Amino acid sequence: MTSPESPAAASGEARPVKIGIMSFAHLHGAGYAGVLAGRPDIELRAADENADRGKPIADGFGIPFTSSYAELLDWQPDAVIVCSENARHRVLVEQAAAAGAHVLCEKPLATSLVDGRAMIDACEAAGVTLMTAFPVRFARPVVGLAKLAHDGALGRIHGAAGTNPGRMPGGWFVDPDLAGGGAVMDHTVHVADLLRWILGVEAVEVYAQVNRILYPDLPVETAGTLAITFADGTVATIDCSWGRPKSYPTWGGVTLELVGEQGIATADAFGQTINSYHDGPGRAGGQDVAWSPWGDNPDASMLAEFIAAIREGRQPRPDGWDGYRATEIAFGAYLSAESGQPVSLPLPVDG
Amino acid sequence: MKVSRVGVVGLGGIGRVHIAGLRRLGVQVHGYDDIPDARSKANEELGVVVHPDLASLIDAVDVVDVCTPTDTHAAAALAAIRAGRSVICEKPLARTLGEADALIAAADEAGVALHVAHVVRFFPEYAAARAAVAAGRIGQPGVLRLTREGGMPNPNGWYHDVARSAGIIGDVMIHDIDFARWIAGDVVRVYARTLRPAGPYNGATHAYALLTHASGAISHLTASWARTGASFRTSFEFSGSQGMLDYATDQRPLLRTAPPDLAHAGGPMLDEDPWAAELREFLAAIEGGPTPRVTAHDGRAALAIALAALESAETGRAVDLPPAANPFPGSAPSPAEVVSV
Ligand SMILES: NC(=O)c1ccc[n+]([C@@H]2O[C@H](COP(=O)([O-])OP(=O)(O)OC[C@H]3O[C@@H](n4cnc5c(N)ncnc54)[C@H](O)[C@@H]3O)[C@@H](O)[C@H]2O)c1
Repeated sequence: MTSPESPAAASGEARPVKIGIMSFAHLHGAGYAGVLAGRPDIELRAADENADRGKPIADGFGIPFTSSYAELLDWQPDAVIVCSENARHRVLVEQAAAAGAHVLCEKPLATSLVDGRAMIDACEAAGVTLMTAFPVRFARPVVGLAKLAHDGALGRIHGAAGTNPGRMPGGWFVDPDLAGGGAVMDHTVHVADLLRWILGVEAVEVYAQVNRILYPDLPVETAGTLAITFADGTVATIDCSWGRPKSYPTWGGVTLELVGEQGIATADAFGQTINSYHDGPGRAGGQDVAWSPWGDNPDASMLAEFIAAIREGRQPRPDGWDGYRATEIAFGAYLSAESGQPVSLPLPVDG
Repeated sequence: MKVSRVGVVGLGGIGRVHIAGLRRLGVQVHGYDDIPDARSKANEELGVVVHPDLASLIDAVDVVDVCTPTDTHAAAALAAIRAGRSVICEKPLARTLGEADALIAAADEAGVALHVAHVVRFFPEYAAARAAVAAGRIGQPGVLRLTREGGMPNPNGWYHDVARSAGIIGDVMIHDIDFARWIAGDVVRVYARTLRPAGPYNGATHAYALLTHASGAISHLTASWARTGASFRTSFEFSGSQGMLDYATDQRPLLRTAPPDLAHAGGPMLDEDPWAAELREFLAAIEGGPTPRVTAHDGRAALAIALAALESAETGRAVDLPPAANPFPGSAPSPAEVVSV
């Protein structure tokens, strides 16, 4: 897995890790660039087939830009971060793997199980690692919650309730062809991943209800709630709705409650905020209310894991299969919402 | 100058916090405490290289970090400065203004650094609020409200002797005095009330103070040792000509548990605690890096305000403060600088 000129070279000063960002379609691409740009241990470049979208972002961070993914890969990056529209993850991941680059892929991993499986296989065949971008695992309150569970402080976990409410994101996120669905596709996977990671078992059944009462003109579901049964009998629910109005003080959030034999614990993943109100000059302008974050940046911690794994020549976590299993729960939710009954997991790959 | 050895004087409550922070920074930690038992404990439990007297500690290190009771800061810090060592000193900088001035003058004369550990400026939520003020989010600060409340400290401790600690105002409120000054600038008048006598000296355990800043801004400060049976909390609210910021440590629990104590087992909620962050910034400055966000002059100014508050509480009169030698206007941009935020 580690080539002779790998940055993991055992002898001498480690050279910078070369990282290419593939597409800025997902806003997280700019967030990752913000964490990595200008660091002496990283060489960063970016590509986006949509130069109108990508070039201003790359210019803003002062990183070289091309509208050709092939050109970016000709630079032989050690790794790429794929932040395209969900449906285009597969083609970019396959190109990157073929070029020998390790991959960090934005969530949800893919818009079908077939695509997800193909991406995992392509990376495996090329001898590169695949990581799924689940930064919420790295948020301090969630790290603390997982520690309580993993150390046994809560005793046996019987149940869990998670939420990942957000603002309706608009753009390609509400285009079923590019996003693979609506709120269920967008916001199930973070909490689904936390549940699998914390409980350490797979989901065996999912039930879901969805609707379009919020933003009824959109072609996708805008609200949904899931109930999941895990292999050890643990019952969990997820609210994945785009329930936060524009006037809400922040984009959304993630919470997770665990009900254990010895107690209950709830993490507020993005709770490290101060309240900020602005009325403009003379307090006579428009009103703006915001919850400004002050905690450690989970994106930075996630990228640190990705980069450390590249340097150490190991598989980063969460991996491609974590991404696959989380999307499987979302796909199961769609099937259940259609049938009105629980659906058994795992799903057949061509399901 | 590369700092490789730091000597902590006073191996009690806050000394141990500093030792943990210094460890993270990769420096070798030495220690001295005038109680032999405290020395052997620090050596056995924390692996600190301990010394039998202060002179031997000062001799062995590049930087001396003073974590003793407030009335002993000056003696320890002066000994270190006179031996040519840079000093980090816990807040308050000293028990009296005379001592504070002597420390600043001695450090200037010896050409060494003197840093005062006003740690609130390094709490990320407080630092975020200050950054928002500096970015113009609230316009010109008008009314500030800061609260800091916990239970009784060790009932037999020196804390309760105002002559040693400067009491609830000098020990607790001084944190928010410094922060209010960082936000709204120099203070010209102070009025304070102290109440609820308790403890071994029957001293005040709760205090209110009203600060008038040179800008006209008003700060209302609360400090308390009366919050019995509940956890320590702090809060702030800053209202300005264009907006407001507010926060309380208990407004949004990050990890809420039943039973409540379970939450501690979840571990720290920050990569770097504020004490480690302040020590990192001080050591970097001593090694030639940028001036830290708080200086000994800020520490002296906070002490002057705290002592004026003590005087006001005793006399029942408002106390005017002399104008600052180097006026500090606070953190908000001037109206001319504010285009739009
Ligand atoms: N920034 C903060 O968050 C914070 C918090 C607590 C205390 N403090 C400040 O830190 C200082 C110490 O407070 P503490 O709570 O650690 O007190 P403490 O009583 O827990 O510890 C003080 C230690 O100093 C030792 N000591 C006393 N006189 C000494 C001397 N002359 N030489 C050497 N050692 C001596 C004592 O034996 C004791 O071990 C005070 O000035 C206090 O205001 C700051």
